[in-house]
Amino acid sequence: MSLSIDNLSIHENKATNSPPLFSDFSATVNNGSVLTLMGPSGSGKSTLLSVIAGFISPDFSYTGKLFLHNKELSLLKPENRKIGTLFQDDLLFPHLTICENLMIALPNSVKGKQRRIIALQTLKKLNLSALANKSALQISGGQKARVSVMRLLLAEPQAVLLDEPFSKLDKSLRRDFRAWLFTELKQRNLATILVTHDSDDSPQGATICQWPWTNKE
Amino acid sequence: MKYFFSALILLLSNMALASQLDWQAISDKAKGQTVYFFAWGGSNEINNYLRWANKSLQAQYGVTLKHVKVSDISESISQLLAEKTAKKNQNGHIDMVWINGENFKSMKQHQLLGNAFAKQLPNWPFVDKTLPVNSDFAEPTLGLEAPWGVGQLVFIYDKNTITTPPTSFADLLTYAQQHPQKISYPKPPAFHGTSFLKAALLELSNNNQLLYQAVTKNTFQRISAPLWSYLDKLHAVAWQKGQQFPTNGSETLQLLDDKQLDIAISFNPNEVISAQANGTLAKSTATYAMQAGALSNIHFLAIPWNANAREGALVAINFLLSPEAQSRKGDLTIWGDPTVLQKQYVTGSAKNTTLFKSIAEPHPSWQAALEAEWQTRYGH
Amino acid sequence: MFKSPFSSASSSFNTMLLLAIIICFAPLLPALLGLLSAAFAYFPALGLNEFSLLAFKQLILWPGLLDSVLLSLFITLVSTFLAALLSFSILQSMWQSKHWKWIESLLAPILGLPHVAFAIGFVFLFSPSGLFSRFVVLIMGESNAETWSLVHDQYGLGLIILLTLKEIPFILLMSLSLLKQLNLKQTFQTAHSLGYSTQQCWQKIIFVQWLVKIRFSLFAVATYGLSVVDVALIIGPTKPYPLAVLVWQWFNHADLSHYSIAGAGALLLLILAIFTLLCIRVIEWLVTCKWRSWLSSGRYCLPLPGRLTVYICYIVSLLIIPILILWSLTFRWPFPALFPRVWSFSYWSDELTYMSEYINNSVGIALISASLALLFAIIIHEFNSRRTRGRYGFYIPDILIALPMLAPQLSLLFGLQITTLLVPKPYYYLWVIWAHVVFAFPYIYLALNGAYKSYDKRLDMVALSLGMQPFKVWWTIKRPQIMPAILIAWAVGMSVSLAQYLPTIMLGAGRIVTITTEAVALASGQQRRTSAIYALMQTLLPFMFFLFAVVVGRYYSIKNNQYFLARTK
Repeated sequence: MSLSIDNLSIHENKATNSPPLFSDFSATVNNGSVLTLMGPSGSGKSTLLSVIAGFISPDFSYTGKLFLHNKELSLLKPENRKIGTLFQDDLLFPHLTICENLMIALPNSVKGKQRRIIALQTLKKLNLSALANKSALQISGGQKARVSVMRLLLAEPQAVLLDEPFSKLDKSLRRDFRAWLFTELKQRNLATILVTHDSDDSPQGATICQWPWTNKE
Repeated sequence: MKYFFSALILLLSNMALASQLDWQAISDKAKGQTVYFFAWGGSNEINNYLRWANKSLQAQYGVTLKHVKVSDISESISQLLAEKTAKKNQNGHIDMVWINGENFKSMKQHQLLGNAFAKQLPNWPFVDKTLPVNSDFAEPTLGLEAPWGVGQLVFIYDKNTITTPPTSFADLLTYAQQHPQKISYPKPPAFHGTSFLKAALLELSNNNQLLYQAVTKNTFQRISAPLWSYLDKLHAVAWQKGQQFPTNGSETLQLLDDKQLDIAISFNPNEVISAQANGTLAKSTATYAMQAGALSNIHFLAIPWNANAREGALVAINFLLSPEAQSRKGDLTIWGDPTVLQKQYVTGSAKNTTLFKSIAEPHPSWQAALEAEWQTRYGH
Repeated sequence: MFKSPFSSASSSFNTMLLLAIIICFAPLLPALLGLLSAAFAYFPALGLNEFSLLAFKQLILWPGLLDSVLLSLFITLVSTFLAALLSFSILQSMWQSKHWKWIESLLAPILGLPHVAFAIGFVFLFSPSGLFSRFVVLIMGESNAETWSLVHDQYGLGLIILLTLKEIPFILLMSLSLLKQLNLKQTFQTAHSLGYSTQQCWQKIIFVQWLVKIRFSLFAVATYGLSVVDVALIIGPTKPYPLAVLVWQWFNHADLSHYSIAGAGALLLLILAIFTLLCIRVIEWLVTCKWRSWLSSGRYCLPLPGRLTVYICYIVSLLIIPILILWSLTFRWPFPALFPRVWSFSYWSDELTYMSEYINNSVGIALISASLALLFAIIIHEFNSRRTRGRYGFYIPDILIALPMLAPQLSLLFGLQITTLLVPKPYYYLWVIWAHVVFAFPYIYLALNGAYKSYDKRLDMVALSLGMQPFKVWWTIKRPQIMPAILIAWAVGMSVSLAQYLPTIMLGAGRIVTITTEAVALASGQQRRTSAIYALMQTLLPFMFFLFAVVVGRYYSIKNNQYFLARTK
């Protein structure tokens, strides 16, 4: 059970003769493991994540295949791919309280009062129960980051994409947050792709892939 | 010989009267004035006629006549009343009004009319005195307003739709019951709507003479009772089931053309001809009056006491009473409004207008009472 | 805190500011006072020398008052609610879809269609003898000729539909700018990654944020629906009348006693307006705060008729002009023919000779009032953009600016008209132009909002630090940047002024005739051909000014870009 990428090439749609961002990228990420794409900004790593998540903009097109647990992803709409993405910004919904931000992520199968109960339990585990009825604008950056992660995980994704999630955090928070994040991901046995330009971000045991991808092999 | 002397006396006395108004001074002062004439603006024919009148007045007398279109002249009267109470005795915003009936009575009562002038106008001798030009709905005019034209409540139908139109209100009800949703009348207090009520009441009460005297609570209840039961029955089968009424006479013409109504209402016996001439109605339409006669009245022109351009208004009214203006007004393709002048002075198709048998208007106090009662019963 | 180019030391700016405040806001006070005094039957000039509740007694005893009030509330709340819901469904279905460019570009011309012209065209389309009805007869035979009517119908359905259709483009336009503030792209990405579809994201996540931000536009829509008179005269119910029309009739009625009941009625209208705004606020609170569990209850959404709505809305709006043109060229067009049987240009040629005076009036008043209101809007914007509490300790609050849009126009004008009775000499043109300035000002201010918010104030700071005089900074640096917005705002002011009915009629004592007052008079008098001509003219005038604004604005944008490109080469 895994997330696999097969000969993926991404082109910009601007001019026909421009070289592709990258070509023939293949990789397989097993459940519970982390693939780290390491390289400077602007080299197409985030675009790759967008393609996997299904957010591709009309400026780009791609060839190649994507599979999650042997299901071909290109046939699925982004909301049906069951892939969670974590961005630099926490992107908590401003019109909802922290508790509701968690509740909104819960699957439809959880009904009624049960939704609030689970959300509150999750906050308790994070020691953030006091924040339940606050809005996203009222809590600190570190708290926002953790809530954001829990929201992602409560939606029960089958794979997770991390697009430089630590770059906006203060250095002091980063280490603890990193450790906590990868523990949570490991616990849930999720295939993870991490994009970053900081080698410290990559956890122990992750497969590292240097970017830009040049298809040397 | 007898006739020569009476004509001479008439001429001399008129000259004497005319000089009471010092017409020369008035025409001189009127030059360059702008007269704001507040009059109903719901008819294209009238609006175009007034535009012609303006052009002629400018050319001949240097007076500009501005037609301020109102949907109901009683609005203007309320404004005059406000000005009177505010003691605004000069520079009023209305110079001339087109009124009759209850509106005249109201203006007279509240002293909104200024000095008498009608009989002193140079063109007054041409007026046909056999017409009831000296009393307005049984209220003496005392020269405070000048007659302008004749109104008769008539009905218009399409010969292709109806072969023999109903000639009494009772027949009208029968027709409405046989052809539901095809009969209506304008919503009171619009002029044509109230007139419909008055004409119906006259017939239904068998021309009760009390209608020509001031109304009292008792007489009103007793005499108007048949009208309300008639209307209850009529509304049940009327256009839009009596939930909606045309706004005025012009709309009934439009609805007749749209085949929404089978009978339209007008106060101008010649309206059908000018309407055919400008394409509003089909050529197969015709006018008729009820067998008992058509509710008739004279409509008048008056000058408020605080008019800014009084001289201009006098000149304008005098012009509108002239044979030239009256002939054009009565021209069947222009407006068709019957003249108030003696027949020998008008020319063209205005000469040929014949009036239907006329029924006099009831006392004006009945109008307010009928409107109020209608409002209470059917107005909401 | 930085200083605006108009430094507080500039006395000419201060004078202009004072002038702006006096002209744009001062009339609101006598308007309210005049309204209150008439309502309490106290007006010495008219012989009423004591405060009394007589007018209120008369008001309450008026037969059918409750029906009128309920009808007005029904029409207002339903049309506002529908307009909001349908606008949102259009956004949900069509946002950034392939047709979106068309929808967006047609918004401005459709908005530019004046309400009165729209109403006249609406009658030609939907009355029992309208085009729609003729099609029905064509298909189903003459015996089925409709007796239903959307015009003057009992429950105001025709008026509701017209108001809804006319307000949807307005709400869409307001939504465009505020949706940009909501960061939609990232919201969608986050929602997708949580498993929410685009539709579900719109309804569960964006709707609530949008509703809160669109609140003010909904207020304006509701107030308009409650207090509109000219459109209600053309297609509104007549049995009973909506309250605004009833008050208008009292105002015009023959009896002096009706003058104070009109005041009481206008006050009631104001109270109803406040009540309606409260209703909207409460409904918003219920949906977004009180009953919030639906927001996080899962991935559900309701099907909304976005596509259908936008087609109906745009098609009806675009049919208005052709039907007006057809009627203006008609000599004979009997029912149920689909096209005029006999054509004629005579109505046009007759009217054109006389129209020039009305056009001069309309355009003259509009030019003066729009230009003045634009000047004042710029001054107030400059003043507000400082937001330094220091020297003056205040800024002009949005609520005051918006008051002419939020209070029923009839109520304000009633109070103003009473006040003008106190002035011995009639200055009709002055009152009318002043009133037009007061009512056009909020729209112009609103139209400049975007430009002022997005302007980079540091450009001014740099220029000032180079030693440029404040006014020169505004003229040479800021003005070219915001010129396109200024031109559009000016065109908006022109079209607001051109479309005014009540101020011209009430304060002009009927002597000032504009294209709009003429159109309403003709429409209520059932003059189809001539009212069509005036409706078309009423549409053409603002269109020309918008065209001018867009063309010149584009020239400025190009000039700015060229300058920028030249500097970067």
